[in-house]
Amino acid sequence: MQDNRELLIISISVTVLMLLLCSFIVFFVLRYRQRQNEFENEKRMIRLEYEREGNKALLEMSDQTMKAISQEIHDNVGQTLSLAKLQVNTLTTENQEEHKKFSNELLTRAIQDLRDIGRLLSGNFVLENGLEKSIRRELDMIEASGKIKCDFISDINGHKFEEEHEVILFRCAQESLNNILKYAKASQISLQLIASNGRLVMSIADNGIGFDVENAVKGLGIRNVQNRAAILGGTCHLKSSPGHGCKVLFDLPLQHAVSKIEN
Amino acid sequence: MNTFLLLVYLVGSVVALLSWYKLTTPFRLAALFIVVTFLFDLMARYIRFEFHYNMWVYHIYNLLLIPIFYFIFRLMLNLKGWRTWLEVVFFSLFTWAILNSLFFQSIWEMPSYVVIPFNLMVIFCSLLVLRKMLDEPIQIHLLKQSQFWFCTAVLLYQSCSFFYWTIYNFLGGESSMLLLKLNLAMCILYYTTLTYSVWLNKKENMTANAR
Repeated sequence: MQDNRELLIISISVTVLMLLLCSFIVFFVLRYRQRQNEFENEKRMIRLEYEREGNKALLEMSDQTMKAISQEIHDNVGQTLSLAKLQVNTLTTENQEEHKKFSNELLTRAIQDLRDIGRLLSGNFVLENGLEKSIRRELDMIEASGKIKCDFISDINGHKFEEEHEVILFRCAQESLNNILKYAKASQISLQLIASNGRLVMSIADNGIGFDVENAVKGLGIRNVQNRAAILGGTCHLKSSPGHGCKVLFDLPLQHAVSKIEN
Repeated sequence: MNTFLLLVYLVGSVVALLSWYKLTTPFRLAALFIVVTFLFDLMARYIRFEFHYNMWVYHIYNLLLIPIFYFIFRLMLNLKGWRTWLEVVFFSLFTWAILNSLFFQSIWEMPSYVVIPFNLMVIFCSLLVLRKMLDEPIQIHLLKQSQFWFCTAVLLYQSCSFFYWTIYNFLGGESSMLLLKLNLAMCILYYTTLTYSVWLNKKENMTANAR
């Protein structure tokens, strides 16, 4: 009788224990599946948001580039060719030599302008020669005009940029330099490219007329540059005030933008 | 049923040894545990057959089991906050196992006073691992994850073992036939599932390496 009672208690206890354990496992499996879905949804949302931001930035960049090209064609190439056409139309036997020479000069300038637009669009030079060399060439070209003195300090500690990131960074520098040429009326430009503590800092400073950052940001296409910096996971800050020049500061995480080449 | 258990040990040991180099560290320890269990079981049976008293084998086996499980859970949990806690608890358990063998349950008795706290510890640790899995889910079906099977096996067996040894102690060192059979069945299920988790871990690693 006692044995039967013991057996009954044990059987009931074992059954309850097994039921509890099995229920726990089933619950865990279901909960895990739910967590997997939640986690996947979160990841998808973040990816979508990132893609949306990236696409927006790319669209804005492409729009800015188009505007720059159309402006360049309209202001320079269009004007030069119109003038050349005028010279050809007003060609007479008396002014033939003079007009021919002038038209020739205008056409040469138009060709040069088109080459400049081509250079603006193509990233081949950057890919072939690297960021440092491309920036140095850009500064050399500015210095060749004889109006602006350029300083370039580079200390990137053997870091090599990923190709497309190199082009984007170069475009940032190019855009900033173009802004200086167009608006700053500067006599000196100083460009620094420094990699340290896991970050890459590029600063471009001029001694020009400066401007009120709050009011002038949009007009200078700085958003375009900021978007490019954001694509590289970094930031772009402007420091300027009227009469005190301007400083553009790019701060990018190295692990995102570059890979280190072991010497 | 006993023969079947031995067969499960044998298959488990073969799978563990064959997979050894393709396993992650915690599962190497799980594989080691299967092999050690097989060897100790054989030893215990032989000693019982030859000298009748074999309980001292289980005292040594317990002393080996505690560090093995400590390292398995330390590697699986890999959480700074829990590391010290695990160290303290497993070290205390190890000390208790030695003290128990020396002063409480002599080497001629089953060390059930050690097995019960060990069961509780391992159950708690496997619940922690399951919790960690829930916090950091991965996009692989749960039933294809070696860690899940390992934790499930540990949770099921150790709970039943805890139940068994509590009744064993309650009955003053006696055990009913039903409980013995149940324990044996759970043993078979436990080592089969452990073997499966080791094999699954090997497969996971091979797939990861192929990628």
